[in-house]
Amino acid sequence: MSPLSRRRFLQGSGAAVGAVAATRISIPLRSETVAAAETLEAAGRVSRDVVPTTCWIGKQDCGMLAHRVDGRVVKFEGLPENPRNLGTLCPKGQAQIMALYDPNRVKSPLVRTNAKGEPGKWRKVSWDEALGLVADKANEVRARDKRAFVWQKGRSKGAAFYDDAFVKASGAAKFSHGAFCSDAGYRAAEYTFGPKGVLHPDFRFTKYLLSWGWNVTNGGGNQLCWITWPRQMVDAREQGLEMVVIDPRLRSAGPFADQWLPIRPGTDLAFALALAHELIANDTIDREYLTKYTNAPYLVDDEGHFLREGTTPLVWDSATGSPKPDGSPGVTPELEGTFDVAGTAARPAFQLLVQHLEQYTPEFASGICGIAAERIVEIAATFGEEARIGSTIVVDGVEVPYRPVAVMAYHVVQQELGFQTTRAMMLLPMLVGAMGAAGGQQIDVKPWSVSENFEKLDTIKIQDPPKSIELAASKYYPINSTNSSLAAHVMLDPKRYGVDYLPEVMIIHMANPMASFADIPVLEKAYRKLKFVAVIDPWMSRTADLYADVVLPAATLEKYEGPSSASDQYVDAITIRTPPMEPLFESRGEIDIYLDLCERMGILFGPGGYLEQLNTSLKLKAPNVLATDRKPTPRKIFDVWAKAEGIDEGVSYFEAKGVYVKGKIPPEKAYGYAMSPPFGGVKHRLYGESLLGYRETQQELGADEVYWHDYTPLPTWRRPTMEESPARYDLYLISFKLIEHKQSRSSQIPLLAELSGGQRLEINPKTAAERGIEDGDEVWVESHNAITEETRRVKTRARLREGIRPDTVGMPHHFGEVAKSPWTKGQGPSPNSLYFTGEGYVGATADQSFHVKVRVFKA
Amino acid sequence: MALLAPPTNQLPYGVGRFSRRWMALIGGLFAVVVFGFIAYITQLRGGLAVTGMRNIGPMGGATWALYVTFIIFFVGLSFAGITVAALIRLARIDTMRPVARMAELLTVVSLIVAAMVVMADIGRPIQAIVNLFKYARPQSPFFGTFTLVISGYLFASAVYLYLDGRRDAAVCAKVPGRLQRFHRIWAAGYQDTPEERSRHHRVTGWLAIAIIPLLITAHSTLGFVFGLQVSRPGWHSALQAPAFVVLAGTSGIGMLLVIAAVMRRGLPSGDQLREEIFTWLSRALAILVLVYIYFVAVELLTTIYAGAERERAFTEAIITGQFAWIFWLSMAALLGTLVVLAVQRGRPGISLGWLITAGLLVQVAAIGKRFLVVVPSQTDGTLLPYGQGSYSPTWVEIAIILGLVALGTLLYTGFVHIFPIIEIPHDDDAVVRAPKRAKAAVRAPKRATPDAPGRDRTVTIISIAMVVVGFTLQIVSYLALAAPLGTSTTAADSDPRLPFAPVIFILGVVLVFLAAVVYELLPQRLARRRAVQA
Amino acid sequence: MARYGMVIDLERCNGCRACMEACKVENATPRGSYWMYVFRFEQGKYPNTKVSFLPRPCQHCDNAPCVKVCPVGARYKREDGLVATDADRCIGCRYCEVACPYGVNTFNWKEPSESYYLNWNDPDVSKVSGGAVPPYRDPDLDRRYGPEHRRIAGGGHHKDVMDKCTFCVQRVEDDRDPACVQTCPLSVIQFGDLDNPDSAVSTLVRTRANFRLLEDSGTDPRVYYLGGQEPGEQSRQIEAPEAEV
Repeated sequence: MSPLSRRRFLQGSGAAVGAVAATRISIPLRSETVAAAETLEAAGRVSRDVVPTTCWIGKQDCGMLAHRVDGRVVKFEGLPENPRNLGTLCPKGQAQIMALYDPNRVKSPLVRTNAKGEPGKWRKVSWDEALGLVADKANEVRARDKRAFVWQKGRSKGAAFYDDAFVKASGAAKFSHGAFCSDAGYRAAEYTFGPKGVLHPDFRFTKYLLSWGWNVTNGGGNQLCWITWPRQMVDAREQGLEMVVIDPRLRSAGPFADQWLPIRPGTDLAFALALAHELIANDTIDREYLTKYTNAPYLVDDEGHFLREGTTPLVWDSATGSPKPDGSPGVTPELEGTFDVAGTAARPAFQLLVQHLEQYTPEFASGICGIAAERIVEIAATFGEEARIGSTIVVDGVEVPYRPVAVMAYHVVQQELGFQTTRAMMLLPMLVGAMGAAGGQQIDVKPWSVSENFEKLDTIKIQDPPKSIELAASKYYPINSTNSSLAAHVMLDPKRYGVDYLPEVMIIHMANPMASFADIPVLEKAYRKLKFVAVIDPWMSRTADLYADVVLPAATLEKYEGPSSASDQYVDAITIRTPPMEPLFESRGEIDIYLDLCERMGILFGPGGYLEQLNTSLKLKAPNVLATDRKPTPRKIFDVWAKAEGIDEGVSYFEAKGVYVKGKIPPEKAYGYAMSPPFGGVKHRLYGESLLGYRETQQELGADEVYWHDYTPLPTWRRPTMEESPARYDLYLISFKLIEHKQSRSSQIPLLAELSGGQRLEINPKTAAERGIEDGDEVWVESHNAITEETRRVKTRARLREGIRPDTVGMPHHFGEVAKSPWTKGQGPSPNSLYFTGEGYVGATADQSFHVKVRVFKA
Repeated sequence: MALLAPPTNQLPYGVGRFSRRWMALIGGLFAVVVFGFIAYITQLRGGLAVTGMRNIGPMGGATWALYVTFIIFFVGLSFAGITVAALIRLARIDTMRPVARMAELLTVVSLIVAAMVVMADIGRPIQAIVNLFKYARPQSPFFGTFTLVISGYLFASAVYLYLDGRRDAAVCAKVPGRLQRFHRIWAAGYQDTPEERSRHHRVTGWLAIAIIPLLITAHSTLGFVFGLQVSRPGWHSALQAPAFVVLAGTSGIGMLLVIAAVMRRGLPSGDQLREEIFTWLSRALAILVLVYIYFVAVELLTTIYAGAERERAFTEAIITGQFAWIFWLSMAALLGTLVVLAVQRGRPGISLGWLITAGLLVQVAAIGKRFLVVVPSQTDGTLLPYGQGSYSPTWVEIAIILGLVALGTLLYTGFVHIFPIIEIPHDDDAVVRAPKRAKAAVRAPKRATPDAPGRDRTVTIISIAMVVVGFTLQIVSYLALAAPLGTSTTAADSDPRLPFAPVIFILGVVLVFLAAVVYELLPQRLARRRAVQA
Repeated sequence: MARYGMVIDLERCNGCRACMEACKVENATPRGSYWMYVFRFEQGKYPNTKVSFLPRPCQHCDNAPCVKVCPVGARYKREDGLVATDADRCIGCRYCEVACPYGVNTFNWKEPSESYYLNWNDPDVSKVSGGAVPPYRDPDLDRRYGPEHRRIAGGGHHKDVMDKCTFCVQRVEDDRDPACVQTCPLSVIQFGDLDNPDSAVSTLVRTRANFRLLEDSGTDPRVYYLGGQEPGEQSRQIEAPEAEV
């Protein structure tokens, strides 16, 4: 039963209209000509209103207004008050109205009647029966071994509070999508600086931007979905922003590339190191930042470890010419030189960096990246000059260091060397002191804050044998982003990794591993081993179709969900999704589903129960707290949460206005450099001593080199494993996102499938000609695993493009993900079945590489 | 006067004789017509989606295609018919008299078919008829096509055919049989008095003169339908209108050649179609073909050497692109015609087979060239880089065209079997041969009937009045009543200032030609009334 | 009275095609029918390649070839500058389409209700949609507009009639921007009164370099493009959207 009775729903929306009108989102009265033109049948019969909700397709939950006629949604338009989309919507946001009404949605709970591994045959059942079945299976396995109960989600829409609460209350192991996203970059940022995110500029002031694999015209960018970044970018360009595009494929940057550097895939690390080499060579270095806010001055012994007094690292005091504990008063630390400390030659970390970088000359990188050395020299020079080291600017009355140069990097980290590549990219803003400066380098779109991972990732206790199927904190992947395809590998050969159990029962929520995760063939084998799978999804995903025992139909946007930040990095705001209609068919909002499921599992009430976990994950405190002995409606949960946020109207505020704008983020919060203390008082890890520590432990525990060779304190270049493939695999395959689609939840939407409906292989005409391939020809793409010698192939159509490197081919990654939809038939294969997981194709942090060597030939 | 003694007591040229062979032919044609009709029903049901036509640009299609090709083709055919008839009349080419009616009939039939193809092409035929009568706008080149070509021109030709056939109708009306009544009605009391004859010759003379400019404008407007479009490469050309007229003539004469040949072979006493006729026709055809080839050459040269970027690219697409085969096929057909004509001329006597081949080759070229004018400009000629488009007809389009061709043939052969397709030779054609004597001959009965002049005068006045009123209606409705010419700036500009103004225009056209009928028929009526009074 | 026009800033356009989708939903256009069309172009050989974008609505020409050739006045020019199509008067001769240099006309080749992508007559959908096809169809589309009181809004009124961009007359007469303008994530498209010298659009046209599409066709379009360049023979369209009926 939906939490929302029709009557109350209408009351809610009534309130909405009133308030909406009050907030200038008014629906102007019909002009006289229209009034005159009103035909009798149209006149009066129609009741119109507008209620807020949020986009459900994209990542950043843009604010929307649902225009309704007699309670039926006829159009979604952007919510002007939402800082992220300012009243606008992207093609997906517009088209999702078709997803809302899609008759091919899963309409009621289904139970499988045929064997797994083949397209499903289903029996309609009641919610009661379906939830009962799931609850029993879950409890049965939890009683034996909690680790064998796995909860997997592709992407949580809004904050993951209700999922986390379920994971905690049920003790399930949690698989997420991170390792297939930009988690390598997140780990690098969390480890190096603290904030959660990768790299983006301060578009308000940035003048020179390295757009590094940023899919400006199609993809999101650091943390946010598509709309916000491109908008800030074009605005910035009108203020004179210059953009250097580093990307094997030009289409991603469209007309906004002042320079296009078609870099060879997988070589970004070398490119970054060469730029750093040049910055030092040009002495465009912000010594003050490095000395005060990074571990650059820490003295390192010849083993690579910091010299310490107690736990405090030592620095070399130039005034007294002696080592001093870091932070002791009156010390002016040296950055360069070699010093004798109690008989051992000690060097500041920065000195090591300088020496380390000597090998990475522009000529060296040029050979690897396929970009002329002059270009590298020129870019580094401009980057250094534009940084205006030492300058400051007054922002909203506060003086802030001004360094208008930055990097935008996000999905570019999806490569074997992703973690260290990001570390190397971060050297650039660090060297010129642009980190957290105005116009400089930003990491999180929310106010600058140091996450708990800053410490956690520095102090990992490696466990051997591994405690979990995803090999967290193991000697294989000490830092670990949870790669479910890697877990699938382990499931197929647990002994090899010393794992003593197998997952048996899995709840897959809004995830479609069989299409949108890498290494599909291995996933297919592994998931067949699961004893029971329940899928929560609005559509019959490929995964559900092949492996689900039970499918629970989730609502799309016609439900309460959230809360989500609506911050665009300048204005802080928060929003929740409110339903513009009741859930269609028999579908239900996830929170309803979890409340009932937990009730059936007997983990809803009382201490440690789901409700208490909700209070924890929403940080609810008395008086605004959920009773743990009564089942609330989702609306009630958000009402309590909203009041706890200090919004007296409670949830009805959002039902009326859609977004709660907290106001401008003040410079002291926006810029880490302007905080007191700056950067939250942490020292940025230019030198990753603990990484060296992990390496040593891994070696002691006998891990192979492939697991430890990237655990180096300073980013170090090596040839990616894929380069070991035989010469006939002469092309690099990259995959990319299209603006028309989002992950696995859009290719079945006809309006979007029509715009961009089929798989294709982007290939340079020169390369195509060498193979006798013409535009539109069917071609085979065959990938090769350099370690296992395994090959895989898919057939698709060639699309000739001048804007892609001749040694590189590209495929978009969203097609054919939904089964039983007339529009996904024949959309073609996913490149994800060409990628490999496991040694050589995941990074040191278990993050997925989306690079592989392939050969292409006419079908 | 026993002027109308039938040559035999049997109808000439197999009129009224329905042989089994002929019935079979009719049956076959009818089957094809039915097939076409089924296709048309399919189209009405499924919409034009069942054709190969698609939107220009985003769909990379052609929105005008096979149907429009054949509209132009059939209107083209009609051209020759009436021209030849008129020329025979004006230039007094007696040798050609036997084909005169074939030509007139060709005109009428092909115009009827053309009108039907238009209906097949138009999305909403019913609304089309209503809205055209209600709103047709002079500013649209279609206005000419609809009013002049389809209505005016068709009506004029029908009138011409009717009046010219009266004498033979009268002759046939003497023969008892199933068709007697029909022939009597047609004859409408024609007595073949010298007065009637001269009256008739005068009328047809005027009609001929009136029709020539009408058809030139008609075919030019059809050319303008394309020629005035700046946005379609290969369309916007001053040559468009004249080229249309010439190609129309070519295919028309060619078709006439085919018909005449078939008639000579198929009709009893078809040998009245003497060799000179075929010589004359094939010579005319040869000349027209040469002229048209010259047109094509000029067009190619100007666009390829002097044309704008796009025009050049487009012309190259025509002769090298996806439709090149049609271009070269058409050119080959034209040259083939010349060769065949030369060959058959070199031989003693006439070979109907060769002539028919020549006549049909020209049709291939004509259809091909029409297609090339209509389609490639849409698929390969978009001014924004939508990229290459394509078009190929579906079975529905082909079936409908075949059905209509069959229908045309059906009408033609049908007519041939109920009415002499060759003018029945008469004992004296004095009036035609020597107009002076004709006048005399006219004067003679006048003397005999003293009240004739008065009668004459009223009739003349009425007819002239009709003509004057007719033209006035046309001018007034065109300029003052229909939707205004010039650039529209308001919604009002899209409406006729007087509803149904186009009807008035058409009435004007009709009235002008009706005058002829009145002029010829009214005297008998008056005569009969007086006879009754007496 | 206001005479509307559009200004499209190619320096900002990302070619995302949100405008195309907003248009399709707002006007309930059938499959394969794009009143707004966004070109994506590629020019030049690797590595000197350029990519550019160009949104193409109906140009609402002041000297519109389609208006001139329409035999029945179904396609007509309004005082407010809009070029409108009267769904009831159109006879489906498609002359406007061949006359238009921009390829903006889209014909209803089949019964529109049969080409709305999915089976909207599904009983469970009809329950919530009240039988509307498509379920998001706005009744405004079926109303009559302007002093002329003619049915000129919205897609798919009849089989076998012509459709095209209306500048969203149902919104414009309601003092709202056309759907493409409203949704554009990068504020590429501006709409307003070109006769009013103080309007945003007039100011942009006055103050920034601009061109109009195929101006030498003499069509006198009411859509101005800022920056960028007019596509030429060397522009290769990439990623053309599917357009089946």
